[in-house]
Amino acid sequence: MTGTSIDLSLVLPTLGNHDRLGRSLPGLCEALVALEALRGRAGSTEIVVVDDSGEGSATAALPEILASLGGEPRGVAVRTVGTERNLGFGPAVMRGAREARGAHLLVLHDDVLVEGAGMAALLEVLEGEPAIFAAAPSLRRSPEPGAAPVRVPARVVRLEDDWICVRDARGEEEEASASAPVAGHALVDLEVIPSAAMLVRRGQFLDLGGFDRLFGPASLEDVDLSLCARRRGRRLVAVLDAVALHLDLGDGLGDLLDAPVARAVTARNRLLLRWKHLATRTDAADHLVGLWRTALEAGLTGDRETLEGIALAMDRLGEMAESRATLSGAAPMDF
Amino acid sequence: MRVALVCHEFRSEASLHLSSHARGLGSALARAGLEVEVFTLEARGERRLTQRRRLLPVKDAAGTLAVTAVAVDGSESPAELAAAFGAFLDRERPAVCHFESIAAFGAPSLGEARRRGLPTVYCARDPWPAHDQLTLTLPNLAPFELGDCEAEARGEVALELCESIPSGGGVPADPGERLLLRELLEADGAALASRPELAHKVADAHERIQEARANKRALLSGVDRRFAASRMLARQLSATVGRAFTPRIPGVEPAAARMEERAGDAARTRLLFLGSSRPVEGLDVLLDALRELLASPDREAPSLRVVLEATDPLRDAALATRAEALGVEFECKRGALDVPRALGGVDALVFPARWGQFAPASVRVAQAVGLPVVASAIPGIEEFASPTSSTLVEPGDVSQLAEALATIAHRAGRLGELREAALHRAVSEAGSGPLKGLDAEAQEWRQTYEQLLGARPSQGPIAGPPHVQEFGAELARMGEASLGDLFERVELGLEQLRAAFGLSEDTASLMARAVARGGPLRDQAGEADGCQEEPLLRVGDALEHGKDLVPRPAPGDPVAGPAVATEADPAGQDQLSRQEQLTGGTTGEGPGAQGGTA
Repeated sequence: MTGTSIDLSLVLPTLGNHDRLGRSLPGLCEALVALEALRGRAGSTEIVVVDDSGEGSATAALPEILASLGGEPRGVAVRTVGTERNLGFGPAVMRGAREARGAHLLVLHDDVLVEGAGMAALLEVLEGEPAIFAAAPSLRRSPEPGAAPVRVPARVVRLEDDWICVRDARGEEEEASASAPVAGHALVDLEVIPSAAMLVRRGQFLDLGGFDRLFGPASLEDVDLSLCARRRGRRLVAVLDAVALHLDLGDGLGDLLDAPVARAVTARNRLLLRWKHLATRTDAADHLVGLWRTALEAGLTGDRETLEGIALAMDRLGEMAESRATLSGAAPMDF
Repeated sequence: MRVALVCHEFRSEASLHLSSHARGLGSALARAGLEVEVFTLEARGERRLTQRRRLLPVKDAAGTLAVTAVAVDGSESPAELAAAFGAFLDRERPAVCHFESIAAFGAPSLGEARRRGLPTVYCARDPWPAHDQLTLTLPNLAPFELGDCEAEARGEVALELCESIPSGGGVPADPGERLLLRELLEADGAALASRPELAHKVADAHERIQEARANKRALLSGVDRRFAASRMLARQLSATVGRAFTPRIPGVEPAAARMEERAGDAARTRLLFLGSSRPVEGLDVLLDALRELLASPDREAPSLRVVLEATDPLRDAALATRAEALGVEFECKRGALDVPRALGGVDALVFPARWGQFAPASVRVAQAVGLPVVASAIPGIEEFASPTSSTLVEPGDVSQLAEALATIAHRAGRLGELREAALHRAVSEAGSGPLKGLDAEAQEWRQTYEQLLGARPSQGPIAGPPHVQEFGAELARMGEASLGDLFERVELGLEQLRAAFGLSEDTASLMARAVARGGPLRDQAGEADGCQEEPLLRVGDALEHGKDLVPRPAPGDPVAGPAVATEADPAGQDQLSRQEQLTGGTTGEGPGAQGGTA
């Protein structure tokens, strides 16, 4: 591989579950072999497995999984980067991004599969249009075990009574609209890039700050990244002929967290996201009026959960201020 | 540590409250450094079940004392009270629930505490765990023993059938009812059986009482630690209820234990009755004894002061008339009594209760200040009244009481011995046993709470990887805060945000606008109609439109970029600069101005 520049680094944060890696890693190695063949660039890819178990679980599981590979996939460059302790998805991605050598990063959950042709399509789109910050494959998942995978709807960001709400697009009017093809690939513009599978330029991703640890342990870090990118005038797209299959092995917020904890972290992060991206005093004043009302009503009605969500966010005001200070310097009026 | 102190009645005045120990105990617990949240009932002209919380000042307290009173009119069901209690628990988040009373709240309220995994403590200050008839007296004021269901059942039937029994007990005015009462209360089983209609009613009542006791036993099984206010009560409740009760003698209120003045050297002995007009406390017996003495020219009568906690206006007034006719200084008032003033200048306390006393407050206070006691020889008093400093007489025996009063009417004789012994005991046993102070009692409770919390199985970490558990721990800490504390944090944070965003609009104005937007009910109606959605113009999509946005300097640039004129904001005044990004704000009042972040 010496002398060959790395085009693509797959960044695969994992808690080191042997079953999950055993199901996704072989497929990804095969995809990279196919990708290199398609692009005629042997040795231009790597997989960076970020072992976020804090205990070296992935590092221990990897040799057996890799040994089970046969033929060419066995030759794929797979590296393990360990974290000193369990950091969570966002920080683990950032650790992998910093350690990766590729010009592009394909960030994947460790239960997502993408084929080589799909990876090639994503790369061609990013290489063909500089204004695109991130390209995502069309994500599919089975609605229930054994059922045929269906397309995962795009997510949209809305203000509902001054509270940020991220949800699946409803109906055609909210579905992403088709954009001009790039490098022959049909695209749709997205409001939110999914963290489960996305291709970015490594340099841009790091410049932008990547996934903000403010939103740890989970939830809304991909929305924040999307807003930051769009603040710089960058596009987020889904490449329709690149397909990724989400095996759904339990990595959603509901899988990771108990329901009350998931609600609390989401409530907190909705506020942090709002504050981080507030732009004008008028908005700030209106938002505070709404927040006062929410707090007063919660106080009057004994709604602890709401007050806890706000108080949790208040506890991170300092970190939020630091995060806000790093927001893109490129004014959106630039374009 | 935050403790919920649950009591049926709570008075704000800081003085002796004969019918409830909670006021003094609450203050003492606050002095012991605890955050005390009292939950109580209050008959007041507000919407039923409205809760009102107020903070009470406690001198020299490291902790706090707050009282949440639920407005009641007597029609509340146990389920409604339990719901109110549950809301209180969710709001104040105590670590421990201490029930000074369960009867007024019922099993569902205890269930609310248990459902939340809170350790519970109950201190019985009367025989409620075994009987609903808390004075253990029959309608004719005859005593019955704790655990005697048959007697309680006959009493219940008597009360049901005899309408002319005076309030609090006594002899019926109606001659027919007097006969019926005697038949019901004094007939043996065989004699009662000859009156099948009565026997049937008694059997029904007996069954109801047994069932109620079984329910209470089941309820009390769910309490982590059970205490009783005297050794006698603890022993008898343990035996009767079949659940262990530990004695926890109540302490004496320090304020109550300070006499305003010591007895003077007047020739005539001055006695005090401190209590209520309830027949079971025997004020009528005392007045009868005094009348007997006054009618005997060869015997000297002491002077008497009666200080009553108002209970029944008619009964109070009748006793006042009788007392005044005997030259008794009589005082009756609603609310807490000024005990130090009442004790001033007194030589001895007289408390000729008929029965049903369990750690009586007046006897404990008198003993604590070194006053001799003339009282009834009943177990509930004997435990607290030292034989060397007390004269004990048969309950209800007017002649014996009159003789005892005559004996101490001369200051020089028997009274002198009693006073000396009482003072000696008050000094030598001060702060311990029956003479301990409220602060000592509060420390005992504190230890109990700590033991319970220490014994509670630690909650395991929440499911998920370690970084999720860290958040779970943060959330758990948040869950320990009371609603008030949470709101204060939010309030502070909102003020920090306002300053950090450099808003010229003050908090009062923001709050006024918030209130003007409508209340929860209006919001709920709005939600029912479907939430109004507004596309995220100012945060996401609209970033691309540009006109309402702030240009931000590049990272590392120490100088904020100039404000940019836009169509909506020609002078750029509305735009938040980077210096205002929660690191201080332009006013210099933000957290950053103090050298730190929010």
